[in-house]
Amino acid sequence: MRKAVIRAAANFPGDLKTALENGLRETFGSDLACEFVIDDSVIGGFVVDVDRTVYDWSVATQLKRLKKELHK
Amino acid sequence: MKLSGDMLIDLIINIASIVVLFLIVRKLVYKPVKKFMTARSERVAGAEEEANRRAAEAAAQKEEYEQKLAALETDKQQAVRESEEAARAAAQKIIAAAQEKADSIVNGAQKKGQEAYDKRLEAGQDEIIDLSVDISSKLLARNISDDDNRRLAEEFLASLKGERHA
Repeated sequence: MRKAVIRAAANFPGDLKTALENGLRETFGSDLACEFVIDDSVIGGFVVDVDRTVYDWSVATQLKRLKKELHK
Repeated sequence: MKLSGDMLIDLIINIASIVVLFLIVRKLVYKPVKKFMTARSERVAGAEEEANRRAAEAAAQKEEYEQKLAALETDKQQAVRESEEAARAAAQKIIAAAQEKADSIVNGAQKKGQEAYDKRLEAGQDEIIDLSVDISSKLLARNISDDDNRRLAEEFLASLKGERHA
């Protein structure tokens, strides 16, 4: 059974969790198990880790990119 | 006064004695003395001539030495002038080199100062950027809502459409 780990800074409401699970299963297969983990370092948004692929939609990463751009 | 015969004879004898004495002295003394005096005069004249000659020689030498001294003095003054000019030129060179070095040091220091200032400014700007981003992250952490997360989830899922990993 394949697994997707969704890391977020806050506990998502039920409908959001369901939407994410359904969307991920559409792409990765209905046998996909989804696990939601609270991680403050994300700040906002989420990071999805599935099939050795990481989909980083976190605010933390966006801020890091912004910092890098400003330092140039 | 009437001269007697004896007195007359004495007188004649005296006069004759004087004449004979005169003749003898003239013969024995006058000529040698004259010869001596002539020789002496000649010697004196010769010595005077020699002295004049030597005086003339000395005067000529003196003039020659004075001319040489004058020439030496001219050479000496020329040498002094040349040394002064050389010293002036060397001093100018040293001053110019020192000025160049001083300018180089000042320019180098100014450049270093400017570089240090630019570095500090850059470091300050970096600090401001880091601080701003940190403050932003704290604000965002407090203010991100469920609706914001929903929007992100919609965008994420839309980007997944078309991918197929099953």
